[in-house]
Amino acid sequence: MELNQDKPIFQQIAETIEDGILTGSFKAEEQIPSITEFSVMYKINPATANKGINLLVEEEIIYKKRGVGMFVTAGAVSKLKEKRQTQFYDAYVSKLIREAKKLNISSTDIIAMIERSYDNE
Amino acid sequence: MSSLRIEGVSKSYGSTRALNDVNLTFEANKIYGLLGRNGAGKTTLLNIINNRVFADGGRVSFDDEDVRENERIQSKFYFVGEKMLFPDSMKVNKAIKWTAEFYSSFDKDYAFKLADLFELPLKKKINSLSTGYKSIFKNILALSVNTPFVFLDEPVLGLDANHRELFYKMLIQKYSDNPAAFIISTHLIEEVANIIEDVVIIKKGEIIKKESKEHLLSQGYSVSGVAAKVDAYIKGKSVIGIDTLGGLKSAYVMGKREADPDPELDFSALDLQKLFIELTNS
Amino acid sequence: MKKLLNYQLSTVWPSFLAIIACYTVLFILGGFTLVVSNGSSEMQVNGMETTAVIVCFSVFVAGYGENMRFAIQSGSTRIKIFQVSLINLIICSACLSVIAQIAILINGIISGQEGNIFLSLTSMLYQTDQGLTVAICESFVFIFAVLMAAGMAGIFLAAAFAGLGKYGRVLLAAGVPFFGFVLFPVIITVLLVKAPIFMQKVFELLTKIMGFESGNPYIGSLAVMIVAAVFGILAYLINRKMEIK
Repeated sequence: MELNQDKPIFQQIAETIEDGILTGSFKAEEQIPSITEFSVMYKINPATANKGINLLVEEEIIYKKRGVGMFVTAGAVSKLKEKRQTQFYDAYVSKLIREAKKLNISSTDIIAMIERSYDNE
Repeated sequence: MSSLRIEGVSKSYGSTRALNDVNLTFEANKIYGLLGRNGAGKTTLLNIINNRVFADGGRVSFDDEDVRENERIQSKFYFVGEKMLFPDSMKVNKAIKWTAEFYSSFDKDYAFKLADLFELPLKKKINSLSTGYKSIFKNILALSVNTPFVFLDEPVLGLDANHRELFYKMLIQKYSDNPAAFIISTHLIEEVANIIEDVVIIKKGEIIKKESKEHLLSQGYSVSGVAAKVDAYIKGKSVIGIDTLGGLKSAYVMGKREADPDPELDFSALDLQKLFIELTNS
Repeated sequence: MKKLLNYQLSTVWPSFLAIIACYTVLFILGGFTLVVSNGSSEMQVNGMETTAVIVCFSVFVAGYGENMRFAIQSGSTRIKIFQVSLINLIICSACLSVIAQIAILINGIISGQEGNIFLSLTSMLYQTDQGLTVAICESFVFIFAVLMAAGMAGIFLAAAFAGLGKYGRVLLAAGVPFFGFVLFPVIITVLLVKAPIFMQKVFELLTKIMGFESGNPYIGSLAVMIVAAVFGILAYLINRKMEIK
């Protein structure tokens, strides 16, 4: 997973973990890699990794067990789905609409595209 | 925890003012980027802190004690500069052995493990190492010494991509396992940008920025798009740099983004290297 | 700092072994001792002493700069380095002096001079004749002093060299030999011719200071130690302000 310049790094770390949880790579009550492991993997400052993790701790997606490590909370998946659903419009749809408008693609065309491909993707 | 305080430090070499009234504090257990162009004064500052060279004015203190000619304090710092001060005929393994003698917290096993990892030949004379391997040698000492403050001057000079990646990873691992203050002096900013927590930018002997990287980058943004639209947007704003390509323009602005800007303008965060270039261009 | 001293001694040790090895080789070659003893026994007698002085000077002029740089690299201070170098010099001078005395003794025994088996520089200069133990003692002290002066001169030159800029160094590197081998002899010769009485006075003063007149090697040793101290003080002053870049 590559880091880019668009978003703050700590946010990207949080999102990477979230993706991992949503896809099932990190299962509920399972341990996730340590702050050090994340820092070394992405070549970032541990404080940055910690900040990303803390975001998830605040949202109760992750919890820390002293002396042991960090774990995925039970119900994290449903929490994340809820959160992402709320963010879906801003994260994807408004961008989609803006780009479509730039290219003169009508809303009817967009809907047609979606209906055509939804089952295939 | 003790901090390294630099107060009013100035240094001239003949008629050249290398450092001018530098005021700075390095706190414990942080990774700092000391960024500056060639000849900006980074090495002079490091030399003064590490008792190689004396400041003309001002004071460098640690634990409220002057660091100059102070063995107790100097034993808490470690610095290998560009010019290596090891005896000509000394071999790598002997250098490791003697450094371990002088610094009680030095981890010899770790040093030899790193030497193996980087494929550093132990029986070779230090002076006969290539530029890249000289850097690797210095880095291994810096990573093994475990003093509260470690200074690295251009640590990836001459390193190939593989070794650079390995170095950064080992540095982060070491910092995580044994927190210490690491001050990395470099002009190669891209790679080191994610690793540093605080930034010090030095320009022509003066400190122009000293704050957390996050804070520094949050203070500005880049706006790009059609030249006319960008020009309209940046009117009255604090612009630190502009790039033009045909009819497209990118401007680097310090300040807060407006709410609801023109949707045809693209906004993105400043990246450290770009910010550095714009700030240090004369 | 003991570690610094350990380090410095470890660098000096090889040179010592080298001298002992050289002398042993010459000694084993045997013929060298006998051949020379007939024609010019004085030269062979002083061989070890001269070698010791040259070695002491060389070791310190060559080693001081390197030691200084490495010590700074290892978190030490200039004052500490100077102090440790001084201790190092004292140890080296003592050891070399002992080695020299042993060599002179062995030489004397081998070359089988009648009566006097201990022909050292000191015994020659001071013509004392109070038995073997006294002669060895006096020789040890005098050579020790000379070695201290030689080593200190080495340290001073090393410090001056390190402390000077590019041009200063060229001046020093060319100037010292030039002065020693050309300028100084010329000045002496000129003075001898143009101001013989002055030179006579100088010569008398020198003889007095060095204890030749009274035949007291301890006075001479003291004079030489003072020379060493002067070099030392100068070296220390240069040392304090030295920048290592």
